[in-house]
Amino acid sequence: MSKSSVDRPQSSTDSIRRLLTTIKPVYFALVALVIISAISEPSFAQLRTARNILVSSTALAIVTVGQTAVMLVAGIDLSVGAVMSLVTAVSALLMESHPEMVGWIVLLCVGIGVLVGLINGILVSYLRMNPLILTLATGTALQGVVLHILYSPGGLVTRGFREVSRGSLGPIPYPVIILLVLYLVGSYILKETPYGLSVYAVGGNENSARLSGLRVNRIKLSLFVISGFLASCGGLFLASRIGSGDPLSGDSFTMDSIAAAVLGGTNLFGGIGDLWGGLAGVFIISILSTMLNLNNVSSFYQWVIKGTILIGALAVEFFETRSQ
Amino acid sequence: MTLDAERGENQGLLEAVRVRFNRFQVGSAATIWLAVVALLVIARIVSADFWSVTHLFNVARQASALGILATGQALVLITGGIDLSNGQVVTLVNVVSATMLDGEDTFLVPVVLLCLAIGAFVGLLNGLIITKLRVPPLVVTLGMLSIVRGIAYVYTDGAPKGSISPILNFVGSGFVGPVPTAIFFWLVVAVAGTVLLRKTPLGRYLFALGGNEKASRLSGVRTDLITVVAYVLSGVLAAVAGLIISGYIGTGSLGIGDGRNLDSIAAAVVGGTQLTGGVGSAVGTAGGAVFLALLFSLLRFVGLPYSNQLMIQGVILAVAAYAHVRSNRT
Repeated sequence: MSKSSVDRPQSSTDSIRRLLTTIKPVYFALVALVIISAISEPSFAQLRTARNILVSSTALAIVTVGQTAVMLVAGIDLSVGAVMSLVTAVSALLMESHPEMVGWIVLLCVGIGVLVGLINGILVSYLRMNPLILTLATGTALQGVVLHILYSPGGLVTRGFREVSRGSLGPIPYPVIILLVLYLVGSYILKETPYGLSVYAVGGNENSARLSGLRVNRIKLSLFVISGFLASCGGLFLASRIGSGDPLSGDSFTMDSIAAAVLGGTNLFGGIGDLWGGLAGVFIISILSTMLNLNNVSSFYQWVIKGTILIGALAVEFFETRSQ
Repeated sequence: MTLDAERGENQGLLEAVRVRFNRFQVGSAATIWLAVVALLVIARIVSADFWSVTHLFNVARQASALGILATGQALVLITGGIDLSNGQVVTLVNVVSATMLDGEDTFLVPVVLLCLAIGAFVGLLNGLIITKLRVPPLVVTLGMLSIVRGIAYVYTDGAPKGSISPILNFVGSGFVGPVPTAIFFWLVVAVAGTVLLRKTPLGRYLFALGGNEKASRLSGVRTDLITVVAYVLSGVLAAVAGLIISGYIGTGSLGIGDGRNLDSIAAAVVGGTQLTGGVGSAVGTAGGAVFLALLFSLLRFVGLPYSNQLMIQGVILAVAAYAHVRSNRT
């Protein structure tokens, strides 16, 4: 916004147009969706609904940060869903038998995520395996591990651990704090630190990044580790929210995190994207399903609508770049 | 190979094997068929029962639908694209055919034609959005996966009705002598795919497109048209696979296509087709389908649960990914 006032445009319509082109379409879509929802469904404007939407989008929002990070270097992580399922299973099963060791269990779960990220990252960056196939492979293998240790939903998280998703600090729910901290820190790292800039450099052009002395492999590896780490955090949050382990609970998050990142303007070929756009994408996905549920639209149509929006969002981008 | 080996001494034999091996290239069509043979030998060691004609034909029948689906996937992968929506085409074709046929052969021909048209239409939409709106294939077909699944649920209202007609049932689960009928359809598709890829201009254009899209466009290849054709073929083959699968299970079932998109990618990739485009074959893809079907059958045979099968499938995919890296270096 400050950019357009500095430019001192000749007319006010000109400045508005310039302002509009600097804002990503995903934010318009989100605002439009909120307005339409508020008008069509009075209960939407209530604080409780807003809170519900926030809590139900938190796990996806956490994972989307990792997915976006990997996509910034033209990677993709199809193993996040399986990592989440695994973490819900491990945490719920262990907390049921050892309720006094919550701290260690959380550490173990995070360790699992980091380990998976390390494996993905080493194989993709140092052995140059195709990220799509490789993370599909690790995801498939992990799903096998999940089903091996927990075939049907079970286990129980401790009462205290449930508070992570249900409690609040004064009037502010914990999930809001988690999201704010995560996105502020993540955006700061990506936009303001040398590391973040090198991520964009690698994503923009890997060869020139390598030639200009960046440790490309190490950067790519670190992003996969971040994605695995955040997937395990998302899994922990999910376990806290549903209260038990579920071997298929993470399943939908793989595709949804990719969809959210893509809706938010992250380019599949790397170099373009940011976290806030992805967060808007997350909210679009979860507001949409909340609204359709409130209006008793069968979940069957939600699939059709979700798919159309995903394709439509990128098609809109095409028309925009052509008109410029 | 044997002639070379017998003529030489020990070192010569090793050398000959090495040369042959390099010529095969790790991850190529020949490698996967060698792996199939190796797996057959292992199966024989595990249990003599595994080598019965009935059992092996049963494995081949299971490979048929996967092989047909994977051939379509391979055509798309060769252009540098990907088709995540083919599994849901299987589901939609399954529920549409079961509902419309309702156990009677009366409307078999129009229903089959309709199902093929559904597959072609989904492929056409994929191809047009990818080429005309320049949306990446992964996103388009991921969105289409969601849309087609939604349509299948809306169409059946969540509760599929009806059943497959006798003729379609014969296609999916019948036998001609000892040979399951489905295998013939797969053979036709595999042979047609091989001829298409190796002997026709269209096949050359598919490879050219995957190798270097810009270069092929500049040299006069109608890249958009070729891309659309690849996705339409993948959609149609998904519909064929859907009809065969329907014929086997006999009723409509909404989850029937879930995960088959990834299975088809796995079969193509294990068979030497590369995700980066420009490399792949119908013969290798057929080998990939046989290999996976054989492996799963063997794992079930020795009593390993589904969870272990998934783990092993993951490891095999990773090995295939590594083999591709190796073959690209040499």
